[in-house]
Amino acid sequence: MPSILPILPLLLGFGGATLVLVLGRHPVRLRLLVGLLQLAILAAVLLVLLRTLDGTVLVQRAGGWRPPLGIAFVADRLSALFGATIAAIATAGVAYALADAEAARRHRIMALFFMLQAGMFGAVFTGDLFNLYVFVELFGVSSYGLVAYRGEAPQVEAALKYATLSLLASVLMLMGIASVYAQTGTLTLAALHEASVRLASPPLYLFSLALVLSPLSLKAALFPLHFWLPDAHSMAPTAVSIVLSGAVVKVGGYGVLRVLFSHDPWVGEQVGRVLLPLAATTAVGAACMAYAQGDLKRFLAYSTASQMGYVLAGGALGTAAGLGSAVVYSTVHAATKASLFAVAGAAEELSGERRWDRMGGLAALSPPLAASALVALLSLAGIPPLAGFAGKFAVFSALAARGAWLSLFALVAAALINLVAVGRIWLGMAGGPPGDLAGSPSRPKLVLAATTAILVVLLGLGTGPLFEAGRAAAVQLLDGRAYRQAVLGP
Amino acid sequence: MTWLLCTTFAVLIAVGIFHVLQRDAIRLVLGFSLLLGAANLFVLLSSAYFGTRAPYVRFGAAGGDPVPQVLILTAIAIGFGVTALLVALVLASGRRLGTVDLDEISRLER
Repeated sequence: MPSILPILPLLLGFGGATLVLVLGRHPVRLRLLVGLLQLAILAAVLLVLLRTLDGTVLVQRAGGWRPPLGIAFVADRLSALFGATIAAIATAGVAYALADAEAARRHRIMALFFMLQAGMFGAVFTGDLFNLYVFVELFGVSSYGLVAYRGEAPQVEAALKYATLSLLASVLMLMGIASVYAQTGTLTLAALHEASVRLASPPLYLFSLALVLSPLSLKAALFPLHFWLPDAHSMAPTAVSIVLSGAVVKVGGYGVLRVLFSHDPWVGEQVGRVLLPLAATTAVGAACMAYAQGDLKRFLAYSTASQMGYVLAGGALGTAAGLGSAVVYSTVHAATKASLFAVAGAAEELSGERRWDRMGGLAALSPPLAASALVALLSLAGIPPLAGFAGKFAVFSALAARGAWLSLFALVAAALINLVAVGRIWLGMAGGPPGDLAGSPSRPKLVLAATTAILVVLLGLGTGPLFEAGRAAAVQLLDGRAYRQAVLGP
Repeated sequence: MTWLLCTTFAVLIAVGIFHVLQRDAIRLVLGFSLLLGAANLFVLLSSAYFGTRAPYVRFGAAGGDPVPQVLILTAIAIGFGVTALLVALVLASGRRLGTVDLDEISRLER
């Protein structure tokens, strides 16, 4: 169905960035403007979600040209669900930035937040492979700037590492796209399905596809392309960490799934054979590395890589249950990790320490913060009735249904390691004698940490609808007929 | 012509990778822009898939495909912006940390 909705969040992001740059010099006006724009983006994406939940595929064709000439923006269930997750997490990140005395005064930083969102929504809603590349670059560039904006040594180093690796990978993506185009004669995702059936050389095509998927997997922190993530996610200012760990990695995961399952099923099957072991390795390896971290934010960063392993393992299965679990897990992990980073930022201000073993006595110093920390940590560990349990359960049962026992074993091992690590951190943070108070976090930050924790609880209670939505999105993606018909026409 | 482009592509990739692996961050940026150029050449080569004549309406089916050349234009613009950002990051590290040597930058962190 033709509609302007798929492109609306993107336009609001670009427009928001421009408006903030032009009008945002005055601090009070900046806060008001940023708040209103962020709410507008959230409302637009939720509208997209509401319109697509019944299976409608919304299409916006640039200039009214039909593909293959025109470039389409498409919203189906999958992209709307990922878009809604991104919008919610970005709202949390922007709220945290507004509560931060330094970030909220600098309109250029707030403008970068909007550019980052424009890039992410573009990547999620685009229906064209080359446009995907452009938007991946766009949100990449914004995120390097956001990581480095304080200009301290570790941040500049983290940004340099992150930028170099992503840019090298995106050179590969450009070459991959060119060779995909040379073999299929199209860049429209919807047309790849038909083209992938009649290929001259399937192995060559798989190699080109590997080039296309490499920067997306790098953004999703898939082993062995994960090593930039711990630095960038832990050294970035907390507001940026929330968005990076909650939303940006999800866009990478979404890109992999979207590109893979736009093709004929044989492509997903072949690539899945490589993707599944890599994802399982990511989950276990990053869980072990997370266990060894003393720095709380660094622990969270490694844990993000580990959790993305679950998402991609579910996606690599290529079954409706597997892809559904990937969607559910992305949403759940996004909320959990946003909450944890908000807690970590507030706890760091409270104790003046980055290490969790020196944050002792949180329960005595700030009971509300400790309660939020407990909820988020338990969800990360996957304790029922919280959201994390639902996500892990979905991935495990999808793996078991497919008979992927080795990967299932690896993921269960990762979950146990994670459980122990989380328990240790909770005891270190909450228990023990209260340390010296270094400062007190501002009230908005505490409210934000509590709000995201409540969101985690609500997601846990609303598991049923989330499961259904994830499953419906997976079925629509695998079937693909509605998507192709909407984009290419009958 | 294809042989010339292929050779140039190979040389650019080789020199680019060599420079990217250096410790000096400025050479890293240089190597990166060489790799970008190589990628653009690769896209151009892929447009010769249907023929090597200029993509012009009147030439018909024997002409090359115009789409990859449009992609190159976009890629050049993106590459320019991205290289500028990398230079800015290297400049920031040079000013604030006093070095552009990648090993020394990592050592400063510890």
